[in-house]
Amino acid sequence: MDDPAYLDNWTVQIRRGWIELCVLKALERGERYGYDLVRMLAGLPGLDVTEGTLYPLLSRLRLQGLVSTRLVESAEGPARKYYALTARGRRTLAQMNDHVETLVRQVRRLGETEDRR
Amino acid sequence: MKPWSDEAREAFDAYCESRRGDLLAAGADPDEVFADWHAHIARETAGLPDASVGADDIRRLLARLDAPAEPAPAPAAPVAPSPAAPPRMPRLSRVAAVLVSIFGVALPLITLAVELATSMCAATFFDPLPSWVNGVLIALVPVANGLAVASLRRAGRPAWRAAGWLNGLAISVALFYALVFALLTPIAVFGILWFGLGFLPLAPLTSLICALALRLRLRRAAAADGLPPPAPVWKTLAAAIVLLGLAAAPRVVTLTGIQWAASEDAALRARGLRLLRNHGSEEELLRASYIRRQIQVDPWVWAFQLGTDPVPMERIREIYYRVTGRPFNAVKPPPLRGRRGAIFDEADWDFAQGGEAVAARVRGLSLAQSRIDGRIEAEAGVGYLEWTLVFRNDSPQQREARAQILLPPGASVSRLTLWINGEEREAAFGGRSQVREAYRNVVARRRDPVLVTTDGPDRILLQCFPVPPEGGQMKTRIGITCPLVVRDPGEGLLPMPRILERNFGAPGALQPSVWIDSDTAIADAGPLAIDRGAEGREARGELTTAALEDGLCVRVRRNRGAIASWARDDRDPASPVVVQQLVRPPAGPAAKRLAIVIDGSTHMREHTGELETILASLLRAGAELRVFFASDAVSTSVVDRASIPSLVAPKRYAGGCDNMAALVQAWDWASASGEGAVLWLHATQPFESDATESLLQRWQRRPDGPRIHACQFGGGPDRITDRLGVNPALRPVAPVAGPVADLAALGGPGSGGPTAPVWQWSKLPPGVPPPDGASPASAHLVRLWAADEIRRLAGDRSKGATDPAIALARTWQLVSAVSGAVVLETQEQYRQAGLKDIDPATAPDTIPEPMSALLALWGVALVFLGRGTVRVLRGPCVVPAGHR
Repeated sequence: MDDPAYLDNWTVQIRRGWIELCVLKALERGERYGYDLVRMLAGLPGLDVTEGTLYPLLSRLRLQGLVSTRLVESAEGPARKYYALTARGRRTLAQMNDHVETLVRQVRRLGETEDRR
Repeated sequence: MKPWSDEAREAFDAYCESRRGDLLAAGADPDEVFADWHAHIARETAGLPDASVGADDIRRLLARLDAPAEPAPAPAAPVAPSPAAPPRMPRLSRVAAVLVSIFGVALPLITLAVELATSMCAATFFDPLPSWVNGVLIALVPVANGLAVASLRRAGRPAWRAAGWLNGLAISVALFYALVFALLTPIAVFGILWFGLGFLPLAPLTSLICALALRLRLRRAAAADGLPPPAPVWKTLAAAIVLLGLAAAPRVVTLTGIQWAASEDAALRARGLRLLRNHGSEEELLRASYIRRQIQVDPWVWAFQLGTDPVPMERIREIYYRVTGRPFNAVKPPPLRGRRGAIFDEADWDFAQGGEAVAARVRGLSLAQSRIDGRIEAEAGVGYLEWTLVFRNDSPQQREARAQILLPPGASVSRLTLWINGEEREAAFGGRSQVREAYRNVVARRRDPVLVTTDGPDRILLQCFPVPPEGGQMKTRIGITCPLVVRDPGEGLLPMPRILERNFGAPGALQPSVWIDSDTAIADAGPLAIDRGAEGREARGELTTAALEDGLCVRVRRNRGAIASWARDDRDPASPVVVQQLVRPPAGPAAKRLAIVIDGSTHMREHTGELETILASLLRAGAELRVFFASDAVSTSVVDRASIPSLVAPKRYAGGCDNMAALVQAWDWASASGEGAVLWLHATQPFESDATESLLQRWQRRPDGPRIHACQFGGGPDRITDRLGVNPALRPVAPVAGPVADLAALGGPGSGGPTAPVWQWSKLPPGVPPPDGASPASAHLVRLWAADEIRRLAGDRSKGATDPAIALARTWQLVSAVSGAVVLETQEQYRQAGLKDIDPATAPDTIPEPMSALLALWGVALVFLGRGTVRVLRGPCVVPAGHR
């Protein structure tokens, strides 16, 4: 089937969960300045996410206790907001990773099973 | 950041408000997201060429943001705040800000200011400010509340982190003080309900409530603005406890030192003294010397006191001396602010009132005026001084003024006057216990007595009560009859009386005045001006306050041939002529061993030069010398010329030392030779030693053993001499012209050399005229004879032997070891005490009495009419060259 609308709809469905995973993953190795984080994620090929989407998401993740923020005074303008994973966020990221790997592995295994048949 | 145009701001705000609902639905905090977008756009526009950001820029960038209506569905996982009730830019309302400003800022500030100014709580309940750190921490509470209000009310959340930290600190401090003041809260509430007063004790509680309310707001604002939350309370509480611990460290160290220094274990005692000398707080030690018990607010000190037994106050006072080398009452009592919260404060209560000790300095009591008038009969070798003292009491209670006074050598108090309602009242003289009992009875009834009794050799204890409160004054006068000290027949010395110990202050501006007349020229009177216009026979001027304790010596010229004088005893018609004659005592045997005890107390450090001179002069006498240096332990050294500087080196002196162990060792060493002597060079000794009995035992078992010559450097009480001075084995060196000169006048103790002449008194048989060439003198000469006779009679231990001594003291109105003087207010009080006040006409005066010319005529008549010869006086006469 070669239906672009169907595919767009499917990628939107898939992308919803992936964005959160990408945000947490981007913070796994340490805290990041919010502006840089947003610009990096917005430019990620395939994720297709805008800055306007990411800020509300980061706010929700903070309220959920998965990320924390701190303000650092900046000589160039307003204070810079840095994001970091909380312990809870780190645990959630590990669970998400496990889930994704399991899912991908199962999907691949499904294909291999069909080939053997 | 580039400025935004009004249109740009409106465009942004409109966009944000249009998205608020979407964001709420998505589980985001709209205000936070708006702030993020704002920051993002500011960053993006930083690179634009325009100077300001316009509405088009905003619209373009917002379009690029492309914020979706539904960014991502919120998972079912637990969400901290419900999306239905998101945190909304929490700003403190105006009403809340006003309430916090009143109860969380103004009230604690006013309370702190009132307490600092009046010590209201400290004087009534306990001291809430035991250290300056407590004061700073309390002051931080209103500061923290004010800062939190400002940070919450103003855009941009100024000083956010400081506000968070201080809020935690304010909660810790306010909680602590709210608990401390919990007992007073009901009283405060009652006071507010009934009198409209009593808000001050509630300040900690209201401050705590305000700080907790502000903390809630700060946390919500932090969550809303993505700001750091306030610091945890446990962290700020820990910081406050550490700060309080640092402030309490000197007190805790001092209290630890006191506990150790009061220990039964000698090693621990020594360690305690070292700790206090090196690291203790002298102010804390002084405070502990005055305050019997204090309610502690400082948690560290409170915890320390929980685990220890209180040390008796007398012991602490001794420790103060052992640490500083000064008696505790030689310095001002600690100030009120330093003794806040004290209960049973000695400076206020004066537990020693009516007793026989000078004891603690009393608050508000001071010497307001001092004046000494004196007359010297130089040729006759007699002096008479009147010391008028006016005490002032600025405290709200009646006070007793007490002082131990050192008289000139051989002097006696012969007059005591008290001004009652502006009139002079003379004293009654009676047995020592009789006058003391009369004084005690009157003190108990709070009437006007003054008492003088002896308090050791040449020492008296003066007690005046009551000095009226609120600026009231009490005026008294002591008359002192004294022999001139004659070391060289051509010169007479009269040391002024001085205060050894007192329970009142002496302001620096006192300027005690002195006026001395002499019948010969005055050679030297220290700081006093000698009036040359009066042929140099008058010396007068104002002294410094310190001179009351340091002393002053007046030197007068004498005819070298004036070795005898006489006076008429008009109270004994049967045997009316008394003769006073200068004799030189026979030199004692030269000591083979001379033990020198040097007091290792701090004060002696000022006298190392004099000590070197004394040791060098003793070395020349040829006896075997050994120094017993009395510091915390006794160290013994053989004296030779080379070792003298190191023996008295300044670094060896510390604190106040117990000399008794060194005296006992020195006596043992000196007594081993059979012909030994001990010279004790010491500073003030305000405490008796436990080893006094050891010395007494030696003296009783070996009455012919070595004599101890005690020479004191500087002022201050000497309890050892007070106690042991009546024993002939202890010979105090009379302080006249300084220790070096005074010891030289003795010829060097144990040296066997010639000593200075002394006076002897005798009464001639009836009808026997005075000796040829003897100078006529005033009745003071008869008083000196009577004082000498009383000493002789009082030394007789047989039953009833003191009665004639007391009778003689009554007749000649003298204070002695067996008699005292007391002024009572009414004749009824005298009658009840079995005493009779003297006829004022019989009291001595600084005006010559009786006139010498009349006496001379009377003497001439006796010579012509008399029979028999002049009685030979005891001891060899001092006859200067050319008069033999």
